Amino acid sequence: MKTKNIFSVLTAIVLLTSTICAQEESTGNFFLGLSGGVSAPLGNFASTDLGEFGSWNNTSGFAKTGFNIGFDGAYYFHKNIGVGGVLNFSDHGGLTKDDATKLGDSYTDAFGVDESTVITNSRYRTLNFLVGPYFSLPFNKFSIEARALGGLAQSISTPEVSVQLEDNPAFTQLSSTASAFGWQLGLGFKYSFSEKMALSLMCDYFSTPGVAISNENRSNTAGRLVTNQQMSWINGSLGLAYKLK
Amino acid sequence: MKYISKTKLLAVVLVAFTIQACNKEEQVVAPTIANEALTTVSVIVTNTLAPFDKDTATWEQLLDANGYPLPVDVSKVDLTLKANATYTAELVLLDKSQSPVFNVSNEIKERANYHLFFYQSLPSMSAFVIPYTSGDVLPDPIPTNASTTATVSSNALNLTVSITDHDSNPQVYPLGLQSSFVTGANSTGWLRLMLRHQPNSKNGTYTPGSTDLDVGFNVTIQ
Repeated sequence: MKTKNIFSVLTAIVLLTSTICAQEESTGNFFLGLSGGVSAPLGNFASTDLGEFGSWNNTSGFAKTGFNIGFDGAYYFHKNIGVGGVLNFSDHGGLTKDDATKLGDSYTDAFGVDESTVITNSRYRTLNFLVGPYFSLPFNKFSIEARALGGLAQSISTPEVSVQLEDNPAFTQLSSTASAFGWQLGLGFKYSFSEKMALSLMCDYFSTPGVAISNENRSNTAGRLVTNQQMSWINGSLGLAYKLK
Repeated sequence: MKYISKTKLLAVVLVAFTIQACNKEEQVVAPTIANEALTTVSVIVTNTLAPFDKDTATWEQLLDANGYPLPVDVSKVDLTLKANATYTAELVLLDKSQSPVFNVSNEIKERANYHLFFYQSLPSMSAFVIPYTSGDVLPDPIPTNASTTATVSSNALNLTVSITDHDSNPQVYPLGLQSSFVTGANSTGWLRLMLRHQPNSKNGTYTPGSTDLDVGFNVTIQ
């Protein structure tokens, strides 16, 4: 299923790139690109550690390895230095049945109840708009590329977790559509296979201190309570770049 | 142009399908693995003006080998207090079905944010803190004819209990492992002690949650 999904995304990348290539004209010292690939969560964002009674972990995100897809573009005012930006969508999955069971066990223990019912839905989907300097070091048809970007990390959704303790009214960790500052560092290379077109392979590290998470119907201080979700991940992307000049 | 429009459409459909296809709901029920039994409840009182004036009353209901409750032991449930005095009171709750004996008081202290003790003097001239409900079964040794349905105008037990310890909720609700007993004139009656378990619903009142413990003591004020 995962392979099928990745294949679908890569197909979409190729098709969209063809679209751009067909539409753009060489009007300046720009390049435009489209890329996509795997996105692996790191640190607390990927962690499934819930802590233990008295010291619950409120930062673990249960994020999964997913995918990223994005546009980028840059203007090189010097042969090695430019400014540019990326618009990137990332998906890091939702909570699995095992995750929900683990959360349920923690709430059962935290509130000393006979049972907890946990319902989860939605998933981590984030849209980043980041700008900053680009660096390029060409060697014949190859060039080493680097970028340091900062900007907006916009959460489209995060997992929603609803917990019912025995027959008490449920409380819910809501899906977040909050935004936060994010930054990204990337390194990779390009291979120009024609005068206008290049194949790129980039590795980017992204991090944001976190998006705000709201909770509904939490009356007592007990158990895991997530109010902010720190996010960090590493993207490995394959892309096509189109030189406008 | 026609070709570009089709590819755009196809790409959007593919991406949308990929995202939506994975957006599923999970539901699980996670049961508890263990629960302590509350077999033994002791009230230890100390006169604030005369620390040597101490008394302890203990309510106990042990379990048989199969885990079923044995008859309540009411041989040590008598609490004697001096008239017109103030006592500090401490509750000690034990699970004697475990070896070694497990101190449940510490557990309740750790879980103070959703536990609340209620102390009801009977008979009472004041409004009840433990409301009467139809079918209410009084714990031993409180007799069934003890007035739990309405306040009385005379012969009340002159004991006022104020909880002195609190939880760590932002609203700082009372807990009840520690309290203050203030006595009035000579009188006799009963003290009903109830522990309410109010997971994510504790609000300082009796209503939410369920009852974890319901025990009684004989009280003599002289």
